[in-house]
Amino acid sequence: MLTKLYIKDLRVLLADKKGLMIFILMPIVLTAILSFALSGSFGDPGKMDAISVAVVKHYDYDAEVIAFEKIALQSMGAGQEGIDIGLIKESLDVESMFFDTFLGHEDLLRIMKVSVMTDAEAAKALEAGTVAVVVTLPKGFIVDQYVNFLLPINNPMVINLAQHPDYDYSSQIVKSIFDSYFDTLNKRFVNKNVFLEVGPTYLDRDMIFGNLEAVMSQDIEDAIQTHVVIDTIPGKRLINSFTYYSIAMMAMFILYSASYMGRELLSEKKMLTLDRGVVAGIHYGRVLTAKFLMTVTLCYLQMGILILFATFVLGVAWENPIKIMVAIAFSAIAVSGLGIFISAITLTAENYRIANIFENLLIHIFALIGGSYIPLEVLPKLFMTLKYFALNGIVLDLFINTYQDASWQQLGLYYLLLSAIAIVFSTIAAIIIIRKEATSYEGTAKA
Amino acid sequence: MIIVAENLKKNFGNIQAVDGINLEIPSGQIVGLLGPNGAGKSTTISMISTLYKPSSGKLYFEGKDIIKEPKWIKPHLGYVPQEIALYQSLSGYENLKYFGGLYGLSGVELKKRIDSVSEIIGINDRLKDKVEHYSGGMKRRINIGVALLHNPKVIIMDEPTVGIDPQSRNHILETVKLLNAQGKTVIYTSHYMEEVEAICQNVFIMDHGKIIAAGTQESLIDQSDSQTAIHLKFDAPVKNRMDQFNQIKNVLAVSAVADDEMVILAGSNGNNQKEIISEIMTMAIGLVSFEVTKPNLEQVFLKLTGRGLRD
Repeated sequence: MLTKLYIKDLRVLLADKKGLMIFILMPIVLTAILSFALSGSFGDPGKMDAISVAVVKHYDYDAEVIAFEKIALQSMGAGQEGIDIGLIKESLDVESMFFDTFLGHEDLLRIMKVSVMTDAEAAKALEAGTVAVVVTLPKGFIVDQYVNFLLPINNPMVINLAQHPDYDYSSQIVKSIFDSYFDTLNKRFVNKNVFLEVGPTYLDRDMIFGNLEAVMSQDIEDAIQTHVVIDTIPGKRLINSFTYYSIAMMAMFILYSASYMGRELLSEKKMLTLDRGVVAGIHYGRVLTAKFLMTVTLCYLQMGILILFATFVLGVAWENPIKIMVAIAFSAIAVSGLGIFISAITLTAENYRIANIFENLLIHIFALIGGSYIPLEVLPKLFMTLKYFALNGIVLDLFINTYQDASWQQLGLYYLLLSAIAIVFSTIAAIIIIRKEATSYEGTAKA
Repeated sequence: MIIVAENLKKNFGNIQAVDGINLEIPSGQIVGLLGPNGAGKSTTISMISTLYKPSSGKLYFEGKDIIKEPKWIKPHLGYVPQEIALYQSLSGYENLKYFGGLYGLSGVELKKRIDSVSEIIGINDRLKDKVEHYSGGMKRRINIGVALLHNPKVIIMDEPTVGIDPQSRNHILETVKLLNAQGKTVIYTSHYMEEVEAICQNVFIMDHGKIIAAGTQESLIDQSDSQTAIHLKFDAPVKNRMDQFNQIKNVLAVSAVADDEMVILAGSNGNNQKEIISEIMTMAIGLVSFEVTKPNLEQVFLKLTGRGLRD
């Protein structure tokens, strides 16, 4: 008998073209839109993709070295020996320090991929989105560094960063790295100034300049390692926008299955098909069980199609199909439990208000606090706790962890949580329905 | 008697929907349950259908207590609700198949029953269409068909012809007669007096939760002492002879409609009309035509309740 009820429910569901559009087509469309729109805010899976950075030089290296020579002579005053620019270039090559030591550092290469371009090339690349940030090294970049390194004066330096609007996070990372580099340089400059100001009291000129190299030559590589620490958790795959939104939309749209289910019992009551079933000897409990199974099937259908879409269209590589199937199963029973609970209270209320509130308000609140709209990492920390109050938040976490191939033990917590949701809501729904059936038959309230 | 109710009561909170009714429904008859809205008809049939448990009283199907054991009647009962109780997005065939399945029919047997029922309700050429694409009359027919699939002994029809075209209505009434001819007991509620007059052998008239009259149509008319109206037309003015008509035996009242027309009210006994017409013929006053309007259930109902059926 249960099979007959289940098949009928399935037929009714499949005949509802509008409903199926919402359940299946909408999440596919939204996943595609959000994935592409926010692709710049996520890394690639499996490895951290280096951020493409274009560097534009507005300076002329040789001219600026000569310019520094003149400034140095003026600064030292008449009668002083000229400086050996060849020696300076050899021992303190600021351009090589920036491009080779800093930007060529192996840790930085994992984060940034730098190309030197002209203004026009950089502008074109930025517009096309092939680079996330354009760093412009201004005129005076070389001469100012030499001045700051070697003379008792400081010239302010301004580096311009232009970012692509889709790559906000990437730009912030690049800016932080450059800030770190120039902070390190500034510390050296301060050390130098202090040394040059205090040194003459105790040391003669030769000794001052003899020790200046030691003051300034603290390895820039050490500074980079101090400031840039790249840490990834071993075994974790990074999430890109396609992966994230295919999961996030799936987690959100399965709530619509609960909403669909939420209307079902009252709908059958109003159509009198439930009464017809009762006259034929069918109990409410059996009707409810069939609808639970129908919702599980609907969730399987929804999630299965979205997983396939993500795999074959968006290129999301799900590592472990068995874990995915298990995650779908637990998510589906939790959603179905919630669905029959809504259905039971909607039937008791004898109007669709509760189902409407769930569909038009609660789903959107859950979508926000569960991370279906935007990753919770960019929201206040409170949301990270709140997500466990949203079924989609738990499902999203489960699938993210499943995608990252977390261990069965780690996933077990989510399975338990979802099972608990299914059991609690289904039990409450069953109690409500049994009481409703009794009151309808007893006629304590006119049904 | 296939169904017997004794002092059956049903209350919803403070509302007494059915107030101590007694019913005896003979097997193989079409029984009409008449009454205005709120009379308690639907509640009564809901109790017989086991949808509501009576607040008190007894209810038997073939001598078995169906309040204690509703399962005795369920397999033998076909229930046609007042509204269209079908899945609109499914085809007529799918609906029949599903509801037939609920009664344990399957396979070849189910298919045979669907064929048989669809022939009875005259809808076999549209069975594959979705119910939502059917006309109101077709929906009503499928609604009835669903209740016939398991070949029940008793069919309860709650106002099955509401809102449909005359052709579909006639078809449904013919279907009811056909079912009755096959030996089914039909409990038929309706607002339409002419339907009940056309098909019901026994009638229960309900009002305010009580049965206020019961019996065959003839006995109800006799019980109610309703009057027969005889409309007379003459070839000359007869106003000045009114007293003469008033003196005819069994005439209760005479009123002039025009100079040469009048209406005589008489007792509802069939012999009264013959005697009156004969008497007038003997008066040789140029009777051109006459029309006898017998009392009907509508008038009986009006007389018993003081209001019309559809009030």
